[in-house]
Amino acid sequence: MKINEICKTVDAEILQSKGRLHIDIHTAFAADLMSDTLFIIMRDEDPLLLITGVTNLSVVRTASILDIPAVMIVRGKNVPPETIQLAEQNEIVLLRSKHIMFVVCGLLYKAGIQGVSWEM
Amino acid sequence: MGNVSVSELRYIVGPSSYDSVGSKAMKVKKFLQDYFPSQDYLRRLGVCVFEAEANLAIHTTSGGDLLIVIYNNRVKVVAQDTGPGIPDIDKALTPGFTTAPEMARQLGFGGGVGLNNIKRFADSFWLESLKRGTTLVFEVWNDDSTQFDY
Repeated sequence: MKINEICKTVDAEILQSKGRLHIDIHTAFAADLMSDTLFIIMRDEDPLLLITGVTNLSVVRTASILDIPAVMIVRGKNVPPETIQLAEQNEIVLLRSKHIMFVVCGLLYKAGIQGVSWEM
Repeated sequence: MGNVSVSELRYIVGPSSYDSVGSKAMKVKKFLQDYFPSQDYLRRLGVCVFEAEANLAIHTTSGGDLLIVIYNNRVKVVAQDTGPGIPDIDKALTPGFTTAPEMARQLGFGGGVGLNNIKRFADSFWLESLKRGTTLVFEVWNDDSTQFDY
């Protein structure tokens, strides 16, 4: 699913578009704990959308370390300019939806996005 | 990718430096892109360094040192601090067990999986903890024979 389709599905806006904007995304992970996000298993061939309510710099750093191309901020939260700037520097597309995390996940799942592998 | 000479990176991680957690790991990953073209390897290594950095920032009294040694196809990481030490290493290695303060959790850290995550991705793992300090040493190899099994 392309980023613009994802935006339409969850009524999201693009806060930062520099990066892999035309990537096709099939899997997602949702969490407010970056510790848990660091535990996911990423594969090069399966770019991931991170869905989170965290808006500080750690979300961009986590995405950067994991090569996550796009992050969706939920609950319409205000995103600090420094977070947007760091996302731009690291070419991570930043999206924002007014929906709560549950609704964002539900809509995307219904549209065919799958959950990422998780093994603890 | 042929053999490369030994290089070192050193960082100081301040105590309770929650705001900067992950910044050193990002620098390490970017630096190593010139040495290792495999994204999978850099991701594994980056996650391990991120977790070690987070532990120093969240769990130490006076912060600690992060040393990254690059030699041949391997990277060795040494994370060292001066206390207060891990009272029960077995518990610390239990997924979900955490002693992270509320402030760290509010910022998205302290999920209780950090050491496990390092152990999962690293090719060697050594941890010693006393009240006067903790030393964590691990290596992540880029050898074909030690690729992480998905």
